[in-house]
Amino acid sequence: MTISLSSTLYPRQCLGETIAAFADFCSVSIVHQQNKSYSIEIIPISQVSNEEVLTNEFLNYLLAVSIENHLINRLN
Amino acid sequence: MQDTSERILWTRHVSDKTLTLEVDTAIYSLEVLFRVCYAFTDRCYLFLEPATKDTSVVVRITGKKPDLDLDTLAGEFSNALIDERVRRDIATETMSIRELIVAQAFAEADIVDRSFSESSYVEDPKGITI
Repeated sequence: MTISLSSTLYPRQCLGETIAAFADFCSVSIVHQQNKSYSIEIIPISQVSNEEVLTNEFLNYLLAVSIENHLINRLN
Repeated sequence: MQDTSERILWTRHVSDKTLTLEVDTAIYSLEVLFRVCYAFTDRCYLFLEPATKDTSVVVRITGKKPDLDLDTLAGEFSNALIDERVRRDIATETMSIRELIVAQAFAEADIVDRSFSESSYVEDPKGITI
């Protein structure tokens, strides 16, 4: 599944942390990159039964990391 | 994508499980939006994408449980945006008085015990010398 993400809302540095957290469930690659956005492809590991839930959980986790990153940067 | 929403006009149902709403960051800052999104991640899946209007963000909300009422969720999300915005405003308005109160509190009672850290090794206040 390919998803387009805004670099402002989901900073690239937050993606690595999320990929590491989901390493047991899926592999993720960046398929396209522009100034303000990038696209990722999420490939589930074979035993994952529900791809949609996996993708949603991945995006929720990425959002949480991005929010944390945004709020920490605001304090600094 | 068919809009089937009749109860909450500012939302758009994209499927039985998902709706979107557009948040203007000129009204609700990105910080406000992020804080509210974070509070809702336990009940739903959220995805943010820039809207066609430069200052807006489209929030895509998908319920985690099939019996979740999306309209209620969207209403609560919208109310939470207002709540958080008001909290931010009040925090800004009262920042100087809060800083004053904290400064006053620390000025009257220095809670750090400096008797050890500022004393001389010759005095040996902790009795380290055998």
